[in-house]
Amino acid sequence: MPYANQPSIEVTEISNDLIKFVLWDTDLSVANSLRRVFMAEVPTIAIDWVQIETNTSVLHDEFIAHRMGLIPFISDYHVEKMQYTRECECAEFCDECSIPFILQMKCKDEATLAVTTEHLVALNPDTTVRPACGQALRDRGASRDEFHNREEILIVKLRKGQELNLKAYAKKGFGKEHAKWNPTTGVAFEYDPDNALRHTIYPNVEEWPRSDHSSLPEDSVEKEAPFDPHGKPNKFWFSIEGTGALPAQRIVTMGIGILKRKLEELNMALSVELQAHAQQQ
Amino acid sequence: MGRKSEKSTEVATEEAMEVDETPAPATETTEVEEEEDLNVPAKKKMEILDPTSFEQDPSNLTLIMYEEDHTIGNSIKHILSRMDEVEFCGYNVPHPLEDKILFRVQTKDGINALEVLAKAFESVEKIFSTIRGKFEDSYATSSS
Repeated sequence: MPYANQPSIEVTEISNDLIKFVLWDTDLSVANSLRRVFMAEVPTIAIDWVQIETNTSVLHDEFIAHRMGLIPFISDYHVEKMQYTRECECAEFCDECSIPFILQMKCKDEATLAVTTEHLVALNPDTTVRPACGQALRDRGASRDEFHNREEILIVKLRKGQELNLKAYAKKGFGKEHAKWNPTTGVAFEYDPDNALRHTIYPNVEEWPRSDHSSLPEDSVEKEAPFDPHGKPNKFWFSIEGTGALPAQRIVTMGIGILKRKLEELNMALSVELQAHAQQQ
Repeated sequence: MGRKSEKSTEVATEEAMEVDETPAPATETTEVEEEEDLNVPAKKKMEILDPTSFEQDPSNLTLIMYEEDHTIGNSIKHILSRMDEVEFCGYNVPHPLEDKILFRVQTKDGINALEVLAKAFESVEKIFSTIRGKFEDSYATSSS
C-alpha cells in the first residue's frame, strides 16, 4: 500500500451508549469520512408510516406521526437482516421490510392518561424491535444494565373521553434520508487541540476553554500553541454517543463496514467502465 | 441521456455493423427495456463524462459517481493527490440536491486514469480495513 500510511486506533472508553477512541497516522479526510458515515449512513429502524384511525387528543395527526417517527427502536438484532422497503420485492409492506405496531388507548378516568411507548404493541410479539426505552430495555436482560432506569417515552397525554387509535410500520432507513434514523445523539470529533494549525480563530481568547487533550504545560497561561504553517492534522479524538438504537461499538463497526462496501461497489462499477473502454480502444 | 447511451451501446454490441433494414426490432427491444425499467429502475453507479474525449486521451478523465458525497469523495481525492502518476485531481459536488459527485483526474503522460482510480479505491479500502481490524483488536482488549 504505497500511498496510504497505516493508521492506528485505540479505544479509551466504552459503554453501551458511549464509545471514545483515538485515531492517528491518517488524514483528516479519512477521519471525516468515519464521522460522516456514523451519523448519516449507519441504518437503524424507525416508524415511517402511521395510519390514524381515531385521534381526539389535543395534538393533531401529523404531530403525533412525527413524534412516533422520532422514537428510537432497538435495532441491533434486526437491521442487518432487514430490507429497505424500496429494495424489497413486496408491493407495500411485508415481514422482510417492515415491523407493524398498534396503539389503542382511550382515557376513561378523570385523571390525565399519559400514552407512552409502553402502550405501543408490536403485532408480532416475538420481534426484537422495541422502543429503546423503559420496559422493553429492561426485558432485554443483563447485557444492557445501564439502561434499566430509563423511562418510557411520552407520546401524548389524554384527558377523559379522548382516544388515540393508530397503526404504524417501522422501517429500515439511514440518517441521510431522515434524521430520525440517525443512530447517534452526538459525535465529538477533535483534532489539533491547541489550535496550532489555526483552522479556527478564537473570537475571544480568554473565554476559550482548554481542551482535555491539550499538550500545553499545565501551568502555562497560553491559550494556543504557536502557529505551525506546515503542520497537518494527524491525531483525531472521537466520542460517539448512541441513541440506544444501536450499541456505540456497533455504530463504529457497521459504519466502517458500510464504507468498505461502498468502495467495493465503486470498484466494481469502475471495472465495468474499464472493460467497456478497453473494448472500444 | 442515459437512454441514449444505452441504445447506442446496444446497436454496437448486438448488431455490430451490418444494420440497414432492421431499425424496427431495435426500437422494439429498447421499448421492452423501458418497460422493465419502470418496474426495477436500473441505477447507474458511474458514468464517464464525455467518453469520446476520454478515449482519445485516457489520461484525462471526468467521472460522475452517483449516490456519493464528501464521505467517499474527499478520501479518494486525498489518496489520488498523493499518487506519483497523478498530475491533477479534484472532486466537486455540483448541487447539494443532486445525489452525485464529479471526479476529475489528470494523470501523467500515457497512464490510464481509470486504472489509477481503481488503484486509489483499493488503497482507501485497505485503510478502512486496517482501521476496522485495529478497532476490533482495541475493543476486544479494552472490554475484556
